Amino acid sequence: MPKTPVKNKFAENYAELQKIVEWFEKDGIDLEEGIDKFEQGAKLVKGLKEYLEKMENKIKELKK
Amino acid sequence: MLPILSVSEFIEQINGIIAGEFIIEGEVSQYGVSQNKWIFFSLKDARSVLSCFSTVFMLRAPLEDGMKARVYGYPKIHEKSGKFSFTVQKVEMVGEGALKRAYELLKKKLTEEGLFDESRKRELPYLPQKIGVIASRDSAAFGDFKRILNNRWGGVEIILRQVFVQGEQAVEDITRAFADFEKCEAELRPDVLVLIRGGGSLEDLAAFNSEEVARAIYASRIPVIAGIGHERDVSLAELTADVRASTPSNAAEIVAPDRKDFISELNFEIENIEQTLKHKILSKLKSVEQAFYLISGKLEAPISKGRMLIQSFFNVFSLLKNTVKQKIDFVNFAQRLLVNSNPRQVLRRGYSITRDKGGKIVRKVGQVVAGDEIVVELGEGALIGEVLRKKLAV
Repeated sequence: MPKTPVKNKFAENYAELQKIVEWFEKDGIDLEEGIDKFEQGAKLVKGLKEYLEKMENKIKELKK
Repeated sequence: MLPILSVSEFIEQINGIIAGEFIIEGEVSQYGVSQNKWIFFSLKDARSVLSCFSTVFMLRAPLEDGMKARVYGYPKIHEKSGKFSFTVQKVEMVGEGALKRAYELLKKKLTEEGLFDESRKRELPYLPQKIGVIASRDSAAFGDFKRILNNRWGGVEIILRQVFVQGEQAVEDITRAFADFEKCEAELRPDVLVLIRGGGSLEDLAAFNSEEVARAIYASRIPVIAGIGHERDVSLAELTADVRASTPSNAAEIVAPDRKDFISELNFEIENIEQTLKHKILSKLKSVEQAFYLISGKLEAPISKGRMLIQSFFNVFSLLKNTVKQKIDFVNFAQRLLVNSNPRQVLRRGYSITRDKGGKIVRKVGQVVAGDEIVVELGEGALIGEVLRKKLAV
C-alpha cells in the first residue's frame, strides 16, 4: 500500500508520526532529541488511536 | 362484459394464444445448469432479452455465454411460477456472440491506445478523507461497500453520486458522474473515486464495457478504484481503473486500512521507536563504559610505567645501597687496617724506628757500626744519637 497520506488532521498527525519513525531509522541519533521525539510519537499514537476508535464515517450525496 | 377468469384459466388461455413453433436467433448469455437437469439461459440481441428453458436431455449442444445461437421451440407461461420462457427443443450455433465480439474489439482498441497501461496506474492515497462513490444508492454493492468501510475505518466522508448502473441511461449517467466529481469544489473533492456495481451478465454490465465510461475513467484526475462483482470477464472499466477490486466489498478493503491493523501498526511503530531509544541508551552507556576503560587504560599505562620506574629505582637504589655499604665497609676496614698498620700509630704505643744516616730503617745490628749516627723516630719527635756499641741479642 503506498504511503502518501492525504492532508487532514488525522493524516497530518500520521505523517508526523512517520517523520518521527524515519528520524529514528537514521544512524547516529541524538539521545536527548530522541527522548523528546519518542514522547511526541507516543502522544501522536495515543491521539490517532482515540480518533480511530470513536470516529464514524459520514455519508453525503453529490447532486446531479 | 369481459368474463372473469381464474389465474389458471388465464394462463391456460394465453398459452393457447401464443402456442406455436418458432425459430429464434440471438446471443446466449447467463447460461446455467440447475440440479444437473434443467438448463436456463437468455437469448438476446441489442434491444431485447428472451428467457429460455430446456433440459440436459434435450440439449446436447455445448452452449456457453456469448455464443450466437438459433433456437427451436415454443413459448410458454409456466403455471407454477407465472414466468414466461421459451422452451428450447433444439439449438444451432451461429458463430460468435455479437456483444462479446464487440467487447473484444473494443478491448483490443483501447489496449492499443494505452488505456490499460500499467505505467499510467496511479497510487491510491493511503488515508483518504473523502471517498467519492459512483453507484446505485440502493444497490447491494453500495450497501456492502458502506458496511465494510464502517467496519474497517472511521472519520471518512463518503460522497455518493447516485447513478443508473444498467439500462439506456447508465453510460451517460456514469460518464457525467466522473465529470461532476471533477468539477467539485475543493471541500467536496474526493481523494479517491470508487466505481461499484454488483455482479451481472454481460448485458447488465454493458455500461461498464462501454468506450465512454472507459474514457471517463481514463480522464479522471482523481484516482479510481473499480469494483464490479462478476465471475468471468473483467470489464473495460476495471481494466482502465487505477486499481481493480474483485467486488464492492473488496473496494472498501482496498480504499482504507483496517483499524485493528492500523492500530497494531501504530503500536509496532512506537515500540520500535522505544526499542531504538533503549538501544541508543544502552549503546551510550556502553560507549561511556568504553570511554572509561579507554581513559583509565591510558592513565594506567603511565601509572604502571611510573610504578615500574619507581620499582626499578628502588631496585637500583638497593643495589647501590649495597655497593655503597660494601665500599664503606671496605673503607672502614681499610682505614682500620691502615690505622693499625701506620707505623706512627705503632710508635705511639712506645715503639720506635731507627734509621741510619741514609734514612734506611735499621733492622739488624749488622747494618751499623759503632760511631754511626742514627735517627730514632718516636711517637712524637725523633732522637738523633750515635751507636756506642752493638749487642747481638737483647
